[in-house]
Amino acid sequence: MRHKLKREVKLTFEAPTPARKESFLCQFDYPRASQFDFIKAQLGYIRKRVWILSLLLFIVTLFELHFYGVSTSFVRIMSSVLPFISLISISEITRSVTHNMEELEMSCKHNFLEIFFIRAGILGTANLIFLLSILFLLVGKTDFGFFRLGLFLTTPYLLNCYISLIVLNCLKSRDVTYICGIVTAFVSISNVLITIQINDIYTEKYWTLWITSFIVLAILSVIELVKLIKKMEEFKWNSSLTV
Amino acid sequence: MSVSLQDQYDKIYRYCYFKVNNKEIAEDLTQETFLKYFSQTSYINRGKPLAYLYTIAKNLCVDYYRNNNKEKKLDTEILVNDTISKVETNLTVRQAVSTLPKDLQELLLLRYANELKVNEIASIMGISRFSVSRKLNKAYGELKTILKEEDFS
Repeated sequence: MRHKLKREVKLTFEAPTPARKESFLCQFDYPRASQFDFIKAQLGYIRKRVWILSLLLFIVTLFELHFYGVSTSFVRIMSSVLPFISLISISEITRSVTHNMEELEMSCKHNFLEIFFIRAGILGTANLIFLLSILFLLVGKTDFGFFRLGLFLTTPYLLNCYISLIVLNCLKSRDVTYICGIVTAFVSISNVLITIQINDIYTEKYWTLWITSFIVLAILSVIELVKLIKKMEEFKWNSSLTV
Repeated sequence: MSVSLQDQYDKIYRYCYFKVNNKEIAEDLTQETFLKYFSQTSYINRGKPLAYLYTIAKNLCVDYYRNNNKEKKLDTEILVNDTISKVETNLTVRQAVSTLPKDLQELLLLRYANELKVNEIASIMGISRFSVSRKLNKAYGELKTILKEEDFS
């Protein structure tokens, strides 16, 4: 139908202005979805491959643990594998950031920041559960205590998170996931090489270095995360100006 | 209050007004539609299909006529008297639209005034998408024939 005729047909169906609309909508206490429902809905939007890959890594760990036992090399392998878990989570967050989800938020009930927090929270919790499970499985079977083992496993993971967040803050293209993949491979291979090269890296001698690295990387990761959140708030502001 | 709810209020009100041709009753029915819509919690969390909202409005309009105007046939024709001040072109189109069968008028309202998608209209009217497209083309053809002297090309 021609544009002019469409416009005229639209005008044909114009109704008188409703008199009680504002008062009705102001008083109308319509039910809203609870926070739990929102989290449940977001859980469904996280790609299946994230869960499958995480589960696969966990099963492989259990398999190795059962058949090969625990040794220093096993800790080395595990600490090199863990950055890939963070890569899976980062790729999911990248998807939200690079595909301009913030532009849709103006017509949505929840803003982009809320969705980001919920998703990052879900993925972070899943990673934490994964990490704690591995820790509890390994803790009695090595000479390292719970915290030392946690430190050895999480430091490369944190390094990967930190560099990936820098990438996410500096770049905004669809290639971010691939760059994060390269970063993860780099962190993982470096971890293997360094731990092979320095035989006594898991001994008391390097204890202070591990603690310092962990604290510094944790602080730097939080700083990058704050930067990412601020960046999203800027997007929100920019989007509001274009409405 | 979300923007979409405000927007949907206007659209449902327009639809009810088209059905009952009375401002007060149309607004009552619109508000009742929303109250009914949100009273059924099973649909709320994932967002109810838009068709459901229109189905409630449609049923309420039918109920209204059953209860209050049994002798009167559901009149869905467009009134032209209250729009006398409108420009001449629009008056011509109004008259042309009012000569169309009521189901075609309803289709035009849903498609062009309320800007619904073809599949949404198909759900509301309980017909296939193909049928909606065919009827829309038919309505367009009839309008074009009636308005052949006007400049709408």
